[in-house]
Amino acid sequence: MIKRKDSPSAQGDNRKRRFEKEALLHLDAVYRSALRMTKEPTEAEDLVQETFLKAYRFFDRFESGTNCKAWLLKIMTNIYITEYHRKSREPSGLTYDEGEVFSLYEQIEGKEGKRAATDPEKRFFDRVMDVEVKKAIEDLPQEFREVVVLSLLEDLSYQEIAEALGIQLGTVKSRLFRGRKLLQKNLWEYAKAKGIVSDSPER
Amino acid sequence: MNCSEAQRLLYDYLNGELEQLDLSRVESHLKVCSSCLRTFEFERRFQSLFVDRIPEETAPPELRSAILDRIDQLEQPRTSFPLSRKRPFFRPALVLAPIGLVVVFLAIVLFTSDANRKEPLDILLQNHIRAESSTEGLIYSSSDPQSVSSHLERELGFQTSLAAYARSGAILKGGEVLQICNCKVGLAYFSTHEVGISLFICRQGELTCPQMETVSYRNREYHFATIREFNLLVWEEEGLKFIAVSRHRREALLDFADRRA
Repeated sequence: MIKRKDSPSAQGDNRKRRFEKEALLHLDAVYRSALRMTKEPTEAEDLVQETFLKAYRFFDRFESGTNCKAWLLKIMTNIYITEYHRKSREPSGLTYDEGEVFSLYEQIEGKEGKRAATDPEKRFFDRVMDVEVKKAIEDLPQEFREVVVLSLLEDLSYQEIAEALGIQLGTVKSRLFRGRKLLQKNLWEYAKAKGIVSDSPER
Repeated sequence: MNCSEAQRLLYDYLNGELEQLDLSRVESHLKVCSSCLRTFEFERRFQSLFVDRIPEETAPPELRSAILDRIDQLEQPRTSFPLSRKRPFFRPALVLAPIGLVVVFLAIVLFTSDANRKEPLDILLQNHIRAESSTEGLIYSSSDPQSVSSHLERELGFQTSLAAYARSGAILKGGEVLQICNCKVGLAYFSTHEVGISLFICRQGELTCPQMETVSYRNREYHFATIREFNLLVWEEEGLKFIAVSRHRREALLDFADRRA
């Protein structure tokens, strides 16, 4: 039997096949995150293309068996931060330890709970619309949106998020905490605007 | 564990970030404290909103094919340059060719999206490439030298293909990367002591000189021009544009191009 050496093209084919199986598998997840980050379908598509191209170039450095999605999201956030949003990287001005932190739970229990005999939370959650959930994330200032997308939507660990964004673990935790509170506040505001809930005492 | 400690660990708990010890302490607190349990349940429910209620957006099918196309383009230089397969430079007969000093350039041009503006080759030569004689033959250098190994690998992912060319018989001498009117050009030069022709291979673009003339040779069409001491031959092959630059006669360039085909 004649053994043939792998030609460069055969190596390329192998690499491509492996890449499709391990990395391109996460296309939807990366696209969704890109969409949440950029809020713009065409910009998201560009970002995703750049991400996978870069990932392909560096695919040799990806350790098989580790979290490929986290690795891709790390590449994506890197590109996003350095190329797409350089100008808006200034902190939003929100500090992480502002005294009064919004609690949706207290709002619902306090304002609604008194009069509603049945599960007030269920009432609230049932009335939140899908599009508002999405909007709540997109309305977050960028530094919170990043951690919220990676944690709540993509389920990355604190450590993975810290690496992806190049920030300290403690910063991940505080931004996530604050981000969740802001999300709750956003949802509460939307509900208020629709007249589902109100801040004023019930008559 | 008291309530405030449990509340402090709430998000770490929900995010699955608690170590075993804290985890069991939180869980035993939740068994006995219904008030904390309610807030934990609330936050868990809140968290699941984002998983359950955001419609499953899938990437458009064109996006997938666009990525695969671009990957193919990345791989293309490895597969469609006939150098390593046909090895026209390294036939024994060519060793006897009456040409002494040699540097072979391989240029792979990746045009960026905004690379619609092209400059004639003479401007490229004038501004960006310097040719000088040395014991190795003609050594070309650029105004923006960077080592091939680091830059090509980082920017183009090309290291493997360079190694493949080097194995095909030439001695890899090094290389540079040029930025030419919005195009990234990767250069690798080989010392073969056979021919003194620099070959640029471009994926797309219109590299033409004002004074170019059309030449027919063995049923194929070429474009030829002379710029200062250089002769230039431009032709197309498999959708790629080839540009040979040399101080040798036109016939030598035509013969070189014909042997490649």
